[in-house]
Amino acid sequence: MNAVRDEPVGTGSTTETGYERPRDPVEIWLARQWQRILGFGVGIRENFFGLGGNSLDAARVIDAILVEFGVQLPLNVVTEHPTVEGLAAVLRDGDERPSGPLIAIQDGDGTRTPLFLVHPDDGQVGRYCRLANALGEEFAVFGLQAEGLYHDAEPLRTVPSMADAYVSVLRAIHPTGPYLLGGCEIGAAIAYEMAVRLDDVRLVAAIDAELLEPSDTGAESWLREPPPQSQLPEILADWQERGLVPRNAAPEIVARSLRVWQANRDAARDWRPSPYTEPMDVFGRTQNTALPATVVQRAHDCGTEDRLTAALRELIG
Amino acid sequence: MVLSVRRRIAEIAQAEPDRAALIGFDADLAEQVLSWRRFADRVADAADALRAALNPGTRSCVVVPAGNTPAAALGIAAALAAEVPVFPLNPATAPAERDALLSLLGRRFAHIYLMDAQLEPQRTQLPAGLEPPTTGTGTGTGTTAYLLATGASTGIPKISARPGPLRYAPATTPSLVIRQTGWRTGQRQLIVGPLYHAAPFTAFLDGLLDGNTVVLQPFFAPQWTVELVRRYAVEWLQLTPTHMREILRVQDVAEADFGTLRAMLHTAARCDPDTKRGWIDLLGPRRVYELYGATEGVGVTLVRGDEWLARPGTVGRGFLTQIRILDDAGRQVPSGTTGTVFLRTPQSLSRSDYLNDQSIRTTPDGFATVGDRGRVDQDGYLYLEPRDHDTINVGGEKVDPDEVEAALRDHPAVLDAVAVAVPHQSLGSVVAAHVVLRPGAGVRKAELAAHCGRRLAGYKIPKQFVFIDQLPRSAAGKVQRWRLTPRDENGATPL
Repeated sequence: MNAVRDEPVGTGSTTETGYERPRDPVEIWLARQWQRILGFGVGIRENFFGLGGNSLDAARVIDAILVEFGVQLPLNVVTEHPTVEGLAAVLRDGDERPSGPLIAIQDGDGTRTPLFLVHPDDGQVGRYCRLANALGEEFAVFGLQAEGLYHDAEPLRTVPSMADAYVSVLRAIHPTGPYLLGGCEIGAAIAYEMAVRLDDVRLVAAIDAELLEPSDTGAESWLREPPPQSQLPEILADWQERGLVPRNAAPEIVARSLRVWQANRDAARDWRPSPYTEPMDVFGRTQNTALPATVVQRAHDCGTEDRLTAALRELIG
Repeated sequence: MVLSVRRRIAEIAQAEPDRAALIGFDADLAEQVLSWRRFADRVADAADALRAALNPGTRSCVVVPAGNTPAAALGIAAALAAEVPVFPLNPATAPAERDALLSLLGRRFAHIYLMDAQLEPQRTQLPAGLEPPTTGTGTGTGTTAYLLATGASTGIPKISARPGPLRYAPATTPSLVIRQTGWRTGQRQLIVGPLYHAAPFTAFLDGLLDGNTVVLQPFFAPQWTVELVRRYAVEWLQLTPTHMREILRVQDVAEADFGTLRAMLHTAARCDPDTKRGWIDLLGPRRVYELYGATEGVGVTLVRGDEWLARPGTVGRGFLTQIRILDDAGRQVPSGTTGTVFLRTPQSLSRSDYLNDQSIRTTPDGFATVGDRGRVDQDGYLYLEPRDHDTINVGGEKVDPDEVEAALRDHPAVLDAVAVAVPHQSLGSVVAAHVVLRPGAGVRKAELAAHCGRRLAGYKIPKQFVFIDQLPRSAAGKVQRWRLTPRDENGATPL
């Protein structure tokens, strides 16, 4: 019989790349499907067949794409594009799914309370994929992505308005607690405001973004002077070159990212925390000075991602 | 009249030059059709080129990378027409396994040629450190028709050789048992399984010599099989239980999709009752056939759907084959009692031998076994017992846990590992690995899978990895696999 034997086997470099995280909602979705079908988390450049995927598994990927995107891809598409990065490039242009803020990152084993991680200043949730992978596939992890990155919507401009929007999304899938919340940068502030609005919150985690990965979109320089319109194609090319965005990312992503980033920075600056008596769990090398003094902080000293993962797992496992 | 392969192909091409001999697909899945005239011409050219390339006086064979492509089918046909022993190789074979197979071939053949995609034979270097063949001299061609890699219960690749050369005889091509399964001369046949497996390979040969129009499905996707049967009005089809399970799960699959099909024959692995009933419901009991018989040509049993409905679970009665059930001391046991299944068939001259000296067990009076256990009822119907050794059957492919464990222990982070079977809803079972990491080491599961993928065939890569602190071992150091209770599928196979 051939169902399991007829696909090329990874013979070297294609499977040697190790973990590289997804960068946009299409890659996040596809990586999650692969994890569901292959049984473990995968990086976006790992070879489907080199990891043990067979043609039956590939057919399941195609089925899942049909259900999610309404696109019937040819049966050899996974053979032709055996990585998440490659297959996502095929799907990206035709992606007409509604882009809500809730992005499922990892399904979990269904027995644990899901962890909701709110986007950092850049509005993206891809940075949380590595954390979810490191926590272990038994943990369900969702990301909350900022408005306005993948379609022409105005970004939300205040922490309370984002907290309101995300709380209503959260309640739609989990009407009651317990809730586990967290985030980097402005995500920590939003998680805090969400905790104020929800009952039975067991965790509000403020995570040092540098522990996940250094942020290198060059956005810091925008604080001093926003780039002119004419410079956007150059920035896009630079991001693509460095693999920060997919090769066929919509050109609008730069202008939209800029808008979202500015909105988040403004929101963080203007935030006045609501009264809340529970402490925040702060994961990082230093006290999180971005949080207002009124917030009670419980520090978890962890200098590496491994330590962060272990500490977080201890709290929620 | 008995004819050589070359003569027979020429005869069909002369009689029906414009009828399709072969329908296949290229890498872009574009259809390619070869008429019998064109097919015969190309086979003759390639056979001539092969004969010309061989060194007379040296035992030689030709390896054909046998994906289900027109080139592979032509290459196999050309080798048979040239009467050069042919070995269809899984093109996805990992380098280490490929070397092991070539070494086995090298025991018998001094020169090994690889048929490239242009049907040109290329001399292949044998893996280093190989002794020259110890048996026989002369060209060696003609005495072996073909060689096949067989399910290796020990994990060491095993090759069986079919005595040759292959001949066409109207009365025995295809064999009488295949004639019983709705086969008709000149039919349209779909080959679903890969040409490097025994059942699809022999179905292809029979189809070739019996004037079939052969449709090659390049890789298995169930909806595609259904589509190909419909598109080409396929009349005869051979499947494995895994194919059957997957096709039943295709949405809205119905009897009408198989209106042209005269018979579906399944082989290769035990078929679960639900799948069997599903197909009997789909096609009706008289179009569903099951064949039990090892690659080695020891004997066969055959059962049609209506017989199976009367005796659920049976693999049928011997076809030109006597069945004898023996106990461990070699004594025959009464009907209804379980023992080792021995078969005997008068067609034993077609029985294959093994290249690595692992013969099947035989009795003095000519009964032979491949080690399966089972019982026979009073009417002579055979029922097989589950196999009890450690081999993991992944959709019909045999996986030796030792080989997987050795690959895992090769990883710097791994201290020890055990591979076990876990149930899988389409493939029957898949490999799960229980892994003990070195103190302080960490590794992603995907990295372990990729590591295995660089050393093993894809189906041998574990689908599940479970990290544990230590392996359960007996006082003698033997791993107690039964203590590693199979977990559920861990999400590896969604509905």
